[in-house]
Amino acid sequence: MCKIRVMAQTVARKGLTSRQPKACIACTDTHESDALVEAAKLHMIDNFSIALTHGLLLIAVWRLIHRPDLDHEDPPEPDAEPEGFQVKRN
Amino acid sequence: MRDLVFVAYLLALLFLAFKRPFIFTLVYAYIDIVAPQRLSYFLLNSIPLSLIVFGMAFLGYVVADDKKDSRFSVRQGAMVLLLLYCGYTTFTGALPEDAMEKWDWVWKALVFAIFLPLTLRTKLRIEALTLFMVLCAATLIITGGIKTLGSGGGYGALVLLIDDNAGLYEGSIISMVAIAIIPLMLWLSKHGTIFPPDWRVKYFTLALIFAALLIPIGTQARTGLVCIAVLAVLQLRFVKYRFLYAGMAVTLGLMAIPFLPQSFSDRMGTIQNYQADESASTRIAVWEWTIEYANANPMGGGFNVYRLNKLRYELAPDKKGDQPEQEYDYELEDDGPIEVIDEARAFHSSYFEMLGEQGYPGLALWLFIHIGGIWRMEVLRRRYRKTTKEGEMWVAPLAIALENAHIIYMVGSLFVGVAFQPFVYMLVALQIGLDTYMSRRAQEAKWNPIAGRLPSSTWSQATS
Repeated sequence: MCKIRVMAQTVARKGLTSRQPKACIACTDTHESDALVEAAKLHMIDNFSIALTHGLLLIAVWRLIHRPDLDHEDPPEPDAEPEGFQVKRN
Repeated sequence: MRDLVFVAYLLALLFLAFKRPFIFTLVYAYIDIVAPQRLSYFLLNSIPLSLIVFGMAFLGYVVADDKKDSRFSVRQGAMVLLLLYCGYTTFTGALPEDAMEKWDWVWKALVFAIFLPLTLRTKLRIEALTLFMVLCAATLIITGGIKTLGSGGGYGALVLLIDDNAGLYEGSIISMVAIAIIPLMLWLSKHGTIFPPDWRVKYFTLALIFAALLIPIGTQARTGLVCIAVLAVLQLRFVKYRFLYAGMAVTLGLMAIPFLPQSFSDRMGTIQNYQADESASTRIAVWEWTIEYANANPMGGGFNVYRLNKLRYELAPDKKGDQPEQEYDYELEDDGPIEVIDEARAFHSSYFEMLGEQGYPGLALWLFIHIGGIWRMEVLRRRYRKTTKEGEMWVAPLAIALENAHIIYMVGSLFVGVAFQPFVYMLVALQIGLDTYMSRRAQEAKWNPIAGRLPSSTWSQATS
C-alpha cells in the first residue's frame, strides 16, 4: 500500500506538481523521498546555472547589437616613429 | 517546459542576430558548446539545429559583412590541408565505417574553425567570442562547481546538466577546458568592454574561477590536477612578486587538502603508482601499439582505428597495505604481476590519436597548427607588451591568456584524446583572428611621412 503511494507521489511530482497531498507525504519510504529531494536539488542547481549564464549571454547580445564598433572601427592611432625596416630607409 | 524556454531563447537570439549578422556566428558557438538540443527532450533535438545556424552564420558573412578586412592565415591553410587529409584517411582507412562516425563531427569543427577567423575583424568581435566561449563553458562549470561543493562529486558520478559523455560533458575534457579558460576569464574581467570591470564582474569572475578549480575535484579526472599545476607554473611567469605568489599557491594548496574528498585524494594518489593502475597501464600499452601501428602504416589508419588493437600487458599488484583490496574483472592466481588482455582501447592521448589515425603527416599538421598558435601568441605578446598606445593595451594580456590556455590544452591532451575537440578549435580560431587583426591594424598604423603620402609630382614642385 505504502509502495503504491510512493509511486503515486513520484508520478505526481514528475507529471503534475511538486506539491503533494499530505496523505502521500505521511507514508513515504525515506530512501525514496531522499532520492527525490536530492534529484530536485540537482535539477534546481542545473536550472540556476542555465538561467545565470543564459541571462548574461542575452545581456551581452543586447549590448553588442547597440555597439557600432562591432562592425566598424576607427582607424588605429598612427605610429609615432618609424619601426622595423623603415628606420633604415629614413 | 525546459524545451519551450530553450526554443524561445534561441528564437530571441536569432531574432537579435538579424540586426547584426555576426551574432549568428556567436549563436553557432553557443550551440556547439552548450548543445541545447541535447538538453531538451523534443522540438530542438528533432531538427539539425547546428547546421541551420551555421548556414545562417555563413550567409550572414557572405551577404552582409565587409570582406575587405578578412585575412586568410597560414594556419587556416594548414587546417584546410588537415581537413582534406582526414577526409582521405576516412575513406581509405582501415575501418571506413567506424571512421565515418567521427568524421561526421570532425569536419564540422574544422570548417567552423577555418571560417571563424574571417569574421573576427574588430576588437569587439574578438572579445565577444571570448565572452561567449567562457560563458557557455560556465554553464557546465557553475553547475559542476556547486554540485561538487554539495556532494564532493566522484569519478564518472558528477552529472553536468545531462548524463552524457560527449563533447564538453565528458569529465576529463571539462576538467581540462575549465582550467584552460581561467586565463581568459581573468582577461575578460580586466579588459572587457561588454561587461566593463566593476565589483560585479570581479566577484563573478572569482566565483567562476573557484568553480572551475572545483571541476577536477568533482569529476576526479587526474588530467585536471595536472592542468591546475601547469596553470600555476604559467601564472608564475607573469606575476610581479613570484616568491610571494609561489608561497601563497603552495599554502593554499596545502590548506585545501583537508577539504578534499577522500575519494579524490585516493584517485590522485594513483598518479604515483601507475604500474598498479589499470587505466595508466592501458594507456602505455595502447601508446606502444600505436607506435608499432604507425610504423607499419605511416599514413595513418583513419578515425577510430584504435578499435583494431588487442593489448596484453602486466599489471603490478597494489603494494599499499592500508588500502582495501582492489577488485578486478579477472581472477588473481598469485601475488605476482597480473596479465591483462584487452582490446579496442581508445588512445587516451591526442598525440597518439593523431599518430594512429592520421599517421605522421596528420600528426605533423596538427602539431604545426597548435605549436604554431603558441608561438604566434608569444610573438604578439613580445610585440605589444611595451606598447604605449591606449587602444592596444589589451593585446599582450589576451595573447598571454590564449597562449597559456593553449599550453594547458597541449599538456592536458597528453592524457586525453581530444585532438579534434571543437572548443579547442574555437580557441585556435580566436588566436588566428587576433593575429590577423593585429597584423592588419599594425599595417594601417604604420609610420607614414607626409611626403610619402603625396604624389611624386607634387613633391617635386614643392622642392623646386
